[in-house]
Amino acid sequence: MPPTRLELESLPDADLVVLAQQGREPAYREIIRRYERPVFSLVFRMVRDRETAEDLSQEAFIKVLNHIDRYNPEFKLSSWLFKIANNVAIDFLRKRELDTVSIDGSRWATTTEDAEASSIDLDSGDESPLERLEAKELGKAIEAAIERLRPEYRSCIMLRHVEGRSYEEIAATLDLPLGTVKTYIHRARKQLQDALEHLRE
Amino acid sequence: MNRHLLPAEIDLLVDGDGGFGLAELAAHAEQCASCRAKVRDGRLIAQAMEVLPHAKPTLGFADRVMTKVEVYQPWYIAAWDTVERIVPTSTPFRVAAVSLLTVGTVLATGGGIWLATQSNGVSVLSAGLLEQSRTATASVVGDALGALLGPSAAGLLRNGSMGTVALGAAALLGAMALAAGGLSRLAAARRRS
Repeated sequence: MPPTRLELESLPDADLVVLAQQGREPAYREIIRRYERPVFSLVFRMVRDRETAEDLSQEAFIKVLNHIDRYNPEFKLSSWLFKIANNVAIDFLRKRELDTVSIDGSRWATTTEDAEASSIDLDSGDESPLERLEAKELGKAIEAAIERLRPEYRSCIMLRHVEGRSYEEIAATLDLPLGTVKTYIHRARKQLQDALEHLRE
Repeated sequence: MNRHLLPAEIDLLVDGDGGFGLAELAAHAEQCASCRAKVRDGRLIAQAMEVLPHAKPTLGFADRVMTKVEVYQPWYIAAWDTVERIVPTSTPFRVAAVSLLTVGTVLATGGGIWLATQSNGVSVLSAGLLEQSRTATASVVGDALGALLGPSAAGLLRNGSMGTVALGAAALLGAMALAAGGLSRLAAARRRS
């Protein structure tokens, strides 16, 4: 008997993939539900445009789900998803050289509506208004600093600190040598520190 | 330690993943203001990034993805699902279904044994049925093979024994299975490309 939605939510990724390989549509949807935010966040912070990020995230999910029968259980499903999403975003950036757009919206937005439509939609926490404002300012400063990083540094530092991946997982996900990942993360941290220097004053 | 920490060593302390020799590095950072500041700055960046929230796609993202995903169900899973749908879920109904199946099997076996004991009638009946089925099968298979291999093959089958007809039918089925397999692989390859 196919599992219910509640049962699917409690299943580990590996079991979810097995169900998807059996042609269970709810398992496909659960994979999307589980990873739409992390994948979209990674792609958005790479390309800095909401509409483009949606298209590229969709493309990444479609690629993964249409080839779910080729999934290698030796690797994490999330690593495979991030790898495809990162490749899709890097390919896009190489084609368009689109790497510096403000957090407040797409640089191509010509009206306020366009800018709002392309701006990042972030979850709000439980902070007070003042804390929220400070957090928002810091968040904006970091986002702005991240967008000035090279795309390779950006994906490494995002996977390390936003997704909490180990250096080894990042190396496997991005098909990079472990030493290169360590170097990229070190350089990214250094550049972020330099960019945020003014906040310490 | 009578030197400042190397960049890789500062990263080790920032990440705090543990490891051999970490205590010595931490002890140095405690005493050296310059190294301590570098570790603190690195941690500040790491902490600030760790609280960055996830951006969310617009509503209906999953639906849009699913319109472009081909959900492929292997035939044996579909068959198993059908069987599961037929089998009752509640225990009393399952017991009733098993009882009915048992009674049916017993009746069919009894009937078969009774027929077998009526040897004369059965042999006449089965010979007639066998000849009729041979003629019908030879005609169908002959037509098909005739279309594929020519009229001489069809004639051979129509006039041949039961064994020839069976051989011809097996060859036809084999060819059909090979063709179906080929088409299925072709469709799967197109679906993946």
